[in-house]
Amino acid sequence: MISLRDTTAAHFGWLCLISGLALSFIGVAAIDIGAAPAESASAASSISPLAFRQLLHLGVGLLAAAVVAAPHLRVLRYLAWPALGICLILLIILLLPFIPSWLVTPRNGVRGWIDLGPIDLQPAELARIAFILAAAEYLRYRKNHRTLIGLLPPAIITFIPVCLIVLQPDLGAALLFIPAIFAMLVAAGARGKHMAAVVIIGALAAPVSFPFLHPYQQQRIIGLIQQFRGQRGGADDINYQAYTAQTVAGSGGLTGYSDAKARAVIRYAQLPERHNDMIFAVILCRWGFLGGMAVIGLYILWLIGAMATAAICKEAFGRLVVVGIAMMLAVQTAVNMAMVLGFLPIVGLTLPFVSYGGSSMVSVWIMTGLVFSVAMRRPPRMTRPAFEFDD
Amino acid sequence: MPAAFPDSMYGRRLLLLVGIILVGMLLPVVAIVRLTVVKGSALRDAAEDNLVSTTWLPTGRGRILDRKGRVLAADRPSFDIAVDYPVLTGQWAFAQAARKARRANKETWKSLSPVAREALIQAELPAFTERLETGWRQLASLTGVTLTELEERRSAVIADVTRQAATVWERQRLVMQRELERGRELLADVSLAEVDNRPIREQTTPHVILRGVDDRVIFEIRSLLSGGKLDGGPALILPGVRIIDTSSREYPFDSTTVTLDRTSFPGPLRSNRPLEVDVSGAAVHLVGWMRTKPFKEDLDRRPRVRTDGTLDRGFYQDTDPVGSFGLEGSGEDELRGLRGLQVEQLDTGGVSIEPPEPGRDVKLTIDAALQARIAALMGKEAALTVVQPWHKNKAAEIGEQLKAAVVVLQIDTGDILAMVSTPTFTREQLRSDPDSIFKNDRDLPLLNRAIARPYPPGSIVKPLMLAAAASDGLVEPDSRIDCTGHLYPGQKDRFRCWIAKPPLSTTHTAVLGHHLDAAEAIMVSCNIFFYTIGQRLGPERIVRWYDAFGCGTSALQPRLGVGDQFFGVAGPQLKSIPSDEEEMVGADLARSPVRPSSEARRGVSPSEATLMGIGQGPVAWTPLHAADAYATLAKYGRRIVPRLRFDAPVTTVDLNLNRAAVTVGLRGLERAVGDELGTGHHIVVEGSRLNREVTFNVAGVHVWGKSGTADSGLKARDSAGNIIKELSGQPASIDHSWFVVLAGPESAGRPTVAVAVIVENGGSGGRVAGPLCNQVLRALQAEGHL
Repeated sequence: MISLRDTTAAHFGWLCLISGLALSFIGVAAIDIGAAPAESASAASSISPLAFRQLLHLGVGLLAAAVVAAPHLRVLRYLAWPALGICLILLIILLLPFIPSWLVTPRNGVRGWIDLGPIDLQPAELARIAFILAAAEYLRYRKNHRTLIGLLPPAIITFIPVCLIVLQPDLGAALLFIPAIFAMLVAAGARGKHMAAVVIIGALAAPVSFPFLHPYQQQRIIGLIQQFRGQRGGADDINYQAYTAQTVAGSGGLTGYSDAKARAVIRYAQLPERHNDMIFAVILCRWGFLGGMAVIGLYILWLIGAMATAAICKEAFGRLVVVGIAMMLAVQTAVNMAMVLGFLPIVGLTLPFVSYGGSSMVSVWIMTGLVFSVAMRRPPRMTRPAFEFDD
Repeated sequence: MPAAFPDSMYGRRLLLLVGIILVGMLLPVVAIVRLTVVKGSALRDAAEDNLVSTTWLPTGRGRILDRKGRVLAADRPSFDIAVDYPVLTGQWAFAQAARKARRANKETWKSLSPVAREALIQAELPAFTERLETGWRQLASLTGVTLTELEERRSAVIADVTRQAATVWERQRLVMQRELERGRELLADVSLAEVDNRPIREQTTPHVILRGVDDRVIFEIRSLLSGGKLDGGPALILPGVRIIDTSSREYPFDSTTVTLDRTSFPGPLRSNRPLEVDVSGAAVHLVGWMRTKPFKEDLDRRPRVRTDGTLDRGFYQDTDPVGSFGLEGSGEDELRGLRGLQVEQLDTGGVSIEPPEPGRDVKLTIDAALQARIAALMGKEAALTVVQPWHKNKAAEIGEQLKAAVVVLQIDTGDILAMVSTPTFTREQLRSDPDSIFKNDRDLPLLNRAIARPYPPGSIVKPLMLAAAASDGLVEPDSRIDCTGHLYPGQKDRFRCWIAKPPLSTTHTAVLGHHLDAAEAIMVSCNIFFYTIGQRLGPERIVRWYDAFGCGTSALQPRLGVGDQFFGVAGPQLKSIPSDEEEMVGADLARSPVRPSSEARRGVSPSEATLMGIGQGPVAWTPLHAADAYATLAKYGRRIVPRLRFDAPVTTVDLNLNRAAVTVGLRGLERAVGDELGTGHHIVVEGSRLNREVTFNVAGVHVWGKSGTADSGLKARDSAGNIIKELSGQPASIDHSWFVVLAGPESAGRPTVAVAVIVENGGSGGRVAGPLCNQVLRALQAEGHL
């Protein structure tokens, strides 16, 4: 077990904890702005029920972070494969046609949640953590991923949960696995030319996959192309959400609206998913360009904390876990923002720490807990060198 | 030992990843700058537009009134009551009960079994069902409709929507099935069975259950809806009730009943029993109608935002009715009001209202009662336009109703007091059987014959030609001409006088016993006198004079704004006319009124000018032209361009007519109807000269008039299609029957109204149009115009 001194000692984990907390509180405030009707804006004494619930989610998330940070990484290593197995079973349960609808109720057509009475479990959120742990456990002290054939097992480890999540269908969540494993392989010393080849093949394969997408996904991509071309077509249907989000976001200008005005603008713009996927638009509306920069700054702080932790860490498993988590969170953040700002098609991805949602909040805080766990454990004096190859 | 960070491979790789991440985060930064800084101000405007709710407030359309203020067209406020579909089906009660049950059991709801949930909902249901039942009872008592009737209407709506839903769902199911078969969807978002749970639009919208609800009832319901309680009673109980404004355009004078006094009708049509005639559509050509939605031209003509960026509150919306024809169409911009605009600042609750401005009224010069009377006289019941034995009409069967037109002008003002064209049509016909109007090539009911059908003028132009020639110094007002029956004694088949044809085969000189003076020539309608006038005027002058009287290219054409108008042609615009008088142009004109031919460009030949002296040859006009020209004659050449709207500018022009010639012409007109030898003096109703009846018999009214029998250019055929021959052996022509009069109260000593009557293919002007014209004068007297 770890000592209190280790926990409280200065290390990069604190950067993650502090920036994560700041982002979470900004999220609670933004949820309140987005959710509360304009009339109650003057009643500053109370916050909206949704924001309050998000505060509870934050509490649970912090608790979860503490729980995962406490045991030694070794324990997590042992648990990695069983955890992934359980997650895969849950993901399969979601897809079984005979599962009663009171247990698995599709939301917006996505079979992503298991209804456990008071809480809804989103297995995909847990699966991505289990996946990072399992992949890290697999890759530590290995060399074979430096061959082309050796890349196959990590690809399979990735492919199985990705497929199950795509079938829900939750393309956004599924796509996060790929940059994570990519970053872990890069950190683990996979050959540059292999990685480059993977990137090129992926880039070439993307257009080919278009016909296999759901019609609504195809529509979103077409909508985005329309936006890039400056056509206003679809402003009332496929691009409605995108245009509304951009209007709300841009209206904040340099410093944003006052609290009351921002609430009014957001409410009457009828921005869909404003407390969830589109929350970054709310932040820009309320706090403007400066607010947006501050939020991005906090994410960069979190990422720097994580990457610095990975840099200092001497233990192979810890390094890979932190790198995987950092990349997954960075991609999630960038994709969410790009989608709100009209650079990427709209996929269902939350903004880490900020968007409303219990599973999402708990999941990012578990990740933060894992980073903190790695950061607060000092490097042992004697370690076997990991991921040092000649080329 | 591993190499020191960042020289180690792992270190370099981490730096690479950090670089990738930072580049990835740069993308949102760029996008934020673009949205908030570069496009911020425009997007701020767009976002703040959402904070403003603008509601257009309905406005009223102006009325169309007759000269006495009678309403010819006006908006009638009308309201429908619609109810939300879930309320109609009762589904509302279940939804409310479910919501209440869920709220009351918030904590445990998720853990409850479907059966337990259903039980809780059922417990709440009666209260809501009871509210619906009470609500329907209240609505029935408010509107005075029985509950059974309401129930029937609800059932009809539900049956209709259910049918629609079944069709839509079936279509969706087929589409999904095809998708599945193509393997595009591994797991469809919605299973095939769930398709039925997706409500169609009609299942979420309100449906009309009561139409044309009384204003008073609507007022009550409105106040109940807004929470106001009437007489301390309860507010409106039924949820989802909506009031829909369906104001409609009404034409109160469109159908009316006219009582005709037949004691002065000619011979067999006379009766001591008054005739009640239902008149419909008497003014439909003039008032016009509305279409139910705007065309693209309307939307383009009045867009919401003008090119200068200002708002046009009279802009068209997709469901706006638009004036389509007649005054409704041409007066659209005055009649159409400006909407009110209510702007509500949603975040502050501030409201500003720009009140609606109703459209302006348009007042016509028409006397609607006179119009209706004349329409009644022209109808089948009065039989004045029905072929009678004494008409001696070779071209139509006895009993056949003829097409006709009448124009009445007030001489001093140029006001058109009446303008009737038959056959006409009713608004009901317009709604239920438009093809019978728009595709009726035989009767052409849409054609306003008073202003849009070209007719050869015939003999009615004779006094005008006299005044024209005298004004140009080509003839002395007191000069005399010998009617020899033929203009050219050597050519007996050309340029004949009508009296020279069998069976009369004589000359006017012989009948009168002396050479004719101008007044006598008008009285007996001598062709030779006016061929001579035509000859003297020659092509150029005669065309100019027709033009001066308003027929042709004159810029001073009355633009009435009631649909197509024929502005008349004299000379060059017409197809060439054979010099033979028997080949006239009326029929050609009717088919192709203003199509110039290569021959036409050569101008009018001297022999054509000769023909134009008696109103034949390359000349055509309408009854409005005839009335206009006679009114000008009555004012000794001061022409006031006829007008149909009181707000139309009065345009006057002086033709500088020779006063002595006009006086002689008026004397000729006076004698044409007042002297036994006058062509408009009497009719013979039973085929014997003993049954002569004076044509004009309106007590206290002095009449100056002229008949005209204008050759249409068509040949009369029998039922077998063979051309009917005259006694002379010449083919019998089909003639239009004209009569134009100037009339005034005897006390006035001068004419005050001009009346032009044409009966298409009617034959003799004196026999057919004359008696109708006489009855028009009676109608004018009855309505106080004489």
